[in-house]
Amino acid sequence: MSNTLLQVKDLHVGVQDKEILNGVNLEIPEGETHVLMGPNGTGKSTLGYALIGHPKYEVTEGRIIFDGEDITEEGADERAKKGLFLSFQNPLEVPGVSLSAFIKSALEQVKGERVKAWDFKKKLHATMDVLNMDYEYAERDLNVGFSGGEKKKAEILQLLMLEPKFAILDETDSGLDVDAVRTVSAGIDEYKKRTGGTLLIITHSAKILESLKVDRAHVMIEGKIDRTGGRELVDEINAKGFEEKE
Amino acid sequence: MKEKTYVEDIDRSMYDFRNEDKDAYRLEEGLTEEIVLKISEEKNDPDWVRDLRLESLKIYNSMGLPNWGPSLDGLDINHISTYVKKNAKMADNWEDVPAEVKDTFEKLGIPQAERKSLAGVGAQYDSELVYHNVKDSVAKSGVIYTDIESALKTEYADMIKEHFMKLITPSDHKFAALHGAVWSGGSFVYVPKGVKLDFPLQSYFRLNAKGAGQFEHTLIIVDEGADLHFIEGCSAPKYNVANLHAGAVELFVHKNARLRYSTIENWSKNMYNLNSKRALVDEGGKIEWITGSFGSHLSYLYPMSILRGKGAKMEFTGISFANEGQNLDTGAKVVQLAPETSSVMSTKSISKGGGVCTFRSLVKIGKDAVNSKSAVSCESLMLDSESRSDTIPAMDIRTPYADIGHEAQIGKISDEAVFYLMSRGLSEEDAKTLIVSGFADNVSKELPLEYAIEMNNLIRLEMKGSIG
Amino acid sequence: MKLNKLPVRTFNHIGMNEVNLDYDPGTYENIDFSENGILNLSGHKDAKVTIDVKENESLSVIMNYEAVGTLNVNTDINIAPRGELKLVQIDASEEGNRLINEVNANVGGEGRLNIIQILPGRGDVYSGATAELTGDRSECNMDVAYLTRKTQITDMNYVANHRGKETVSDIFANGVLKDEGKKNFRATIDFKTGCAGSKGEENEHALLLSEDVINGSIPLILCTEEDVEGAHGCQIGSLSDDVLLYFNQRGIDKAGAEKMISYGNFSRLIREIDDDVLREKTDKLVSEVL
Repeated sequence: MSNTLLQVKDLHVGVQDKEILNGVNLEIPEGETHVLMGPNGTGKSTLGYALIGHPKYEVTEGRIIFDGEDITEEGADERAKKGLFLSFQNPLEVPGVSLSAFIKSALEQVKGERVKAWDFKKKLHATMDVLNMDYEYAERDLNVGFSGGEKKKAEILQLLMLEPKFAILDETDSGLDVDAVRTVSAGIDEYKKRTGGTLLIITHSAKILESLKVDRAHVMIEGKIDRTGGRELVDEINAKGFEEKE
Repeated sequence: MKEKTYVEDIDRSMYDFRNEDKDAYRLEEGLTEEIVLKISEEKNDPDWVRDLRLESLKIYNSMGLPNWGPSLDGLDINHISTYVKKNAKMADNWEDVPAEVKDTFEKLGIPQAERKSLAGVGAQYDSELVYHNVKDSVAKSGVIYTDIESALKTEYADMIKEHFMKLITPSDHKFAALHGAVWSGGSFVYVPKGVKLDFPLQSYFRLNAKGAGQFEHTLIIVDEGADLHFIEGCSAPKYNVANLHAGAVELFVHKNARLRYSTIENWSKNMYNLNSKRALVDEGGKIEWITGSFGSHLSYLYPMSILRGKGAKMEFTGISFANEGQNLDTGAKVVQLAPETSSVMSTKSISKGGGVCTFRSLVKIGKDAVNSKSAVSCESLMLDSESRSDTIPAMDIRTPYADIGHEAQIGKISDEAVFYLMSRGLSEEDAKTLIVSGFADNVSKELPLEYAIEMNNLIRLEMKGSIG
Repeated sequence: MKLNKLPVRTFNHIGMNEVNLDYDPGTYENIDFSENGILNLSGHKDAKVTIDVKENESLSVIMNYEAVGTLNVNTDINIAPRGELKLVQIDASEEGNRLINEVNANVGGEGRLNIIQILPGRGDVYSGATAELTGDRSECNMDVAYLTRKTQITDMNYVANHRGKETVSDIFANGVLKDEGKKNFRATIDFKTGCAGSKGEENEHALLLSEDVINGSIPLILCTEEDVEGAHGCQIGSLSDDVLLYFNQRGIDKAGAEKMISYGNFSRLIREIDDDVLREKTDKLVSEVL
């Protein structure tokens, strides 16, 4: 057994006094790919936000242990520097700041050192090739005027450039056409290949999972992990939907 | 269409009938120290009230007219009679009200409304209250609802002195000073700690006399944790000379208390409505303003809320409808001085037949108002190109820790919407009326049913002849 | 002198109706600059600049300001039908000086005026622009980025008077207030009688980065025409939680996020400077003051 990278213990999370997660337990060993499934509004995205430290999501009980350290009280930027990454469903638009300038600045923060412009550009272009992205996108303002699919690719581009230890992909496949799903899947493969990183994929469909090796699957119902299983759980849910277990 | 919201047609005569000025005690027109002293004498003022009147008169004479807003050239205080009194005492029994006055209020539906859905009613006719009554159950809970003159003779005299014209002071502006000099009538309401009224209290103001002014003073104190809905209605018959309304409303909302203040203003279209309203809200308290402005020739009206306690809230929901010959300059002001305060202003205006609507506002967020919020939204509808609609919002923000949002929109009735309704068999006028009523539903849905119906009637009335 | 007058007055006690400046202009130097290129104006002076754009002509003018004392520049613009002007105005004044920049423009039928004001200077700025959209289907765009820091004053007044049919205006100010900076933003869309089919929009983003800033905003929409669309929107305050989270999630802290957003405000407009040297110089100035 490899080391546990992420351990979530009895996590309770509320937004504006309303409890959404009521006692989530989850363990993800280093290098594995886990899937979190469940009906809409059940708290999957809340778990993602709580893990990365969104200030609106208040942890009322429980702990988050990452890489052997308790990060429950830490700020989102500290967690990011420790290697936690979330791909957003609706990433921010920043006029006047190019995608490439943003990634470079983030990379320097995460690595804690200046990045040479030439090296950066080379790696950026190579990575954009994997994602079938025109280099011109790197010079466009961050997410401004990007289509839904372009925004998702831009998120995966950041994943590949920042090389975090642990990535949470929140509904990264929703609203994408078949080609885009394929590109995003290729990006995720590339992430595993380059870094051997750990993944938690949050989804309520499962298109993106077809071509990925899934180690464990979890089903969340009403703010709790209801079931955990192997790859076969994904197929079962694809066939039957989210019925309560018997 | 299933959702037909409008009701039977009404005609303006419902508001426009007038009574002869016989039997009335009427002071000569104009404003002099002699006249102010006569009012004071007539009302048997305590010394401090008389002194306040004289001081206010001095301030009035020293101040200029505002150099912004609609022109007040048509208003000459020398042709306004500041005090007109029916020859009658205030009654707490409807039967004792003089027949002619009783008839007036019955036409306006006042006693019926009281029986149905109100906790208490006050009615002012020209300068004096003619009727005041609260339900026994309400009176037993310690709620005071009476006219200020009577209350000054009770144990509440000190409370009144402590609050009266402290929130709106005579030096605020020229018409606050005028009010301080010649005020008469109005109401005093005190809701004791923790008392929550299930039904609203209502005051109705009727200005019958030609060329006269009405200067009533409303003072409401809602004590800790208490809850009150107060409704104010106003109307007057139309004359061809200017009438003036310069009332003052002072509202004190204590800790965790709530006050909803609703107004349906339907003054006649020769009225200069220069009214002042202000609320002071303590920690956790809430003031809600619901305002429909349909009448008046000219209005200057910006209810102000001062949120001085932590977590105090204000909500302002308003609609103005300016038709031919009307210039309605309305809006709201809010001053947020404490942490975690919030304000929401949502207003709509409709301009038609050459009418002018102006939305004017101020949001002021002080340095200490950290984690506060303010949201202002304002929508204006232009029904033709003879009318005018202006939006003049101001913001003065002195903390970075506040969330400020502001939106304004102006436009016309969508041709597609009219076409759609006409394709379902409505006439063009009915289609537009329906759309305008829908536009106004931010206010009508906040009003008790009877008032919502009255408001829709007013809209229907104003929409008459909107085609061609 | 009185300047930056609000077209319609409001409550006096908030002090936003106009600016009363302790300054008496001397003799104005007249400058005709109806050509492509850069007009450098510096020092302590009063200048009247005229820019005439002929029919079907398209001009790009940059006005680069460095005030020493008071630099007072009035620019009169006349755009003939189907003419087009891109006017970039840059304030690079040092601390303790002040710039008075007033633009009055008349835009003919199907003409286009694009005013870009980049205000990273260290002195006080009084900047106003009034566009008379006289011709049918004429357009104006006013895009402003400013930074107000220390005890600086940035006082703005933008007016679009829609007179012709189907005219379009778009006013957008993006700024950052720091330290004890004081800023007033006035913007007016005025739909005059006869401007049927016109559209106007005004937007403001102000990022407040200190507890001692004073932010005034007064966005007017005046209207005497039925068939028009006018809209106003604003966002004033510190970075929202959602914006900050995204930066934080990529490892960038609050100060870094604020700097990036502030830089973005300017950089979007700096790209519009059609001169490599000046573009780089302005970019450097922005990086310095941020």
